[in-house]
Amino acid sequence: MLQAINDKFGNLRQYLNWSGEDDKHISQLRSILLPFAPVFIEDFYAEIVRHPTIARVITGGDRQIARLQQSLLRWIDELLSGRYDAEYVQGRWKVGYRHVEIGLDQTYVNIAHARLRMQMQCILLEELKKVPDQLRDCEITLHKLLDLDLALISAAYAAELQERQQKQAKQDERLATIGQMITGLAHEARNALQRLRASTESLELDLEDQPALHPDLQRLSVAQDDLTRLFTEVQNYAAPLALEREWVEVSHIAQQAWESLARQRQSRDTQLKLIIPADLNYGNYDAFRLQQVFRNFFENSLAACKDPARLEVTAQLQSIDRQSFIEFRVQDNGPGLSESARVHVFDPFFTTKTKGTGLGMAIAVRIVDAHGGRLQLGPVGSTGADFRLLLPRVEHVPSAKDRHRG
Amino acid sequence: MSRLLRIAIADDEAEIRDHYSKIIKRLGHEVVAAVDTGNALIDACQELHPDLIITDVHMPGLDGDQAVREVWKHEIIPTILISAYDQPKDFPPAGVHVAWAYLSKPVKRLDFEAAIRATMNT
Repeated sequence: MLQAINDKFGNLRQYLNWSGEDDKHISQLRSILLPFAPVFIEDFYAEIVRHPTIARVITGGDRQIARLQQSLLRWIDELLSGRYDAEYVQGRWKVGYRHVEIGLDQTYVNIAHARLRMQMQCILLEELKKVPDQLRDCEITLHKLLDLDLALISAAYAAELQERQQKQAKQDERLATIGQMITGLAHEARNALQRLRASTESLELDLEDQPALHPDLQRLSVAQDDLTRLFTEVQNYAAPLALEREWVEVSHIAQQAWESLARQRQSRDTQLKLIIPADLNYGNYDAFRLQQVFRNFFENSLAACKDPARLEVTAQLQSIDRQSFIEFRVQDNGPGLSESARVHVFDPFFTTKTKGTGLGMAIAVRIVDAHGGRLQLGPVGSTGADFRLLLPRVEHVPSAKDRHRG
Repeated sequence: MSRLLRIAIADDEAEIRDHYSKIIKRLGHEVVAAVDTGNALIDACQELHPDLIITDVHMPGLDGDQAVREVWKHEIIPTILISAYDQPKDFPPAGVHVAWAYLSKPVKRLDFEAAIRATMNT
């Protein structure tokens, strides 16, 4: 791979007529521009943090900015080094695939590059304004140099992006195969479970007059229920998700989810408060699936909270990348999520309950994804669990029929 | 007052047939046929005219739902389908008016009994 890139770099240099003259001008460029590196860097990052889309990928705060400033300094230093060898090429390559990694589009690299170019050119104009010939030569070399640099970075970006997409496609294919296998397994298991169930219930009937044996039979039966539930959830998780969207009232759905947990709440002190402003209470969602999502939150909260268990759903408008979302916050007065739970809460088969399948939250993520929404955790340090369910906001005037269905 | 029903059951697994028979007899009904294939179910229905069919969907040869469709061409008999897979599509077929139920395996006894009551309106 690297050999191919080196060859490409050589070809591009030829195409731009890079010559011994350019090599000479580089050393002059270096002596003029390098002292201004801190100014370029300062300007570069001051601008970046002003742009939400770019700032979004900088998640490590000031420490990350400091690290990035160091890499930009290295980048400028290498750019003006005059040594355009394999090592240089490799360094540029890294810039390209690092941007794929953090998910920042090549367009931003191009623009950032243009900004640096503009700054460098301004310095040159200022420093060499009295020697027009030198200015002209240095400018030409600078442009060749930056164009080559950008060509390398974008080639790396494109190659890395393609590789990742291929990898992702393979991964998706593998997951689809596993999904089919699991679905087949679950179906077959149901036949075996049916025999188990039949035999257990036959025994129950035969042993009706021997109460001493009933607790054992009861345990058998409960274990079968658990296994059945596990298979149902695995099937749910693996099955393709087709949404049946309709105009729905979210508070109604949340209330239904709460009521479906009546048995779990029996003889406990529990309370759900729904604080959803009317204008955020309606959307084009799959009522059944959304109820599953709320039910999953509530179930987890009920398992985690001691009495009196207090749950609250609030809603606010959120804007991410110019897209409008309704954010439903589901909070409780329980112990909240541990550090490791925060990391793994959305992973399949992760559970803190002794009796959970660990698929509830993973299924919820699938449902929310299918709606074009997001599932997130509140900030570290929230008291109690704090889940954020973001659903795209769709402007819609409900028809008479929709309103009737409410 | 519930009436005595004559019921035909079909499942390719003997222990399942035995279990259904046991429950049905306990309810005071009669098992007129307990067969293990779709074709045998068709034959039994044509000969014995049961009040209710309870059949597994996936069986060797003809599937339970296919056998029932065949039976219905001659006589509409209320039916309970039981399957480890998804509910068969287009069941019952358009135009066929019949009391029917679908149960997903594994079936619990109470659900099985409820399905019989619901289907037969007893």
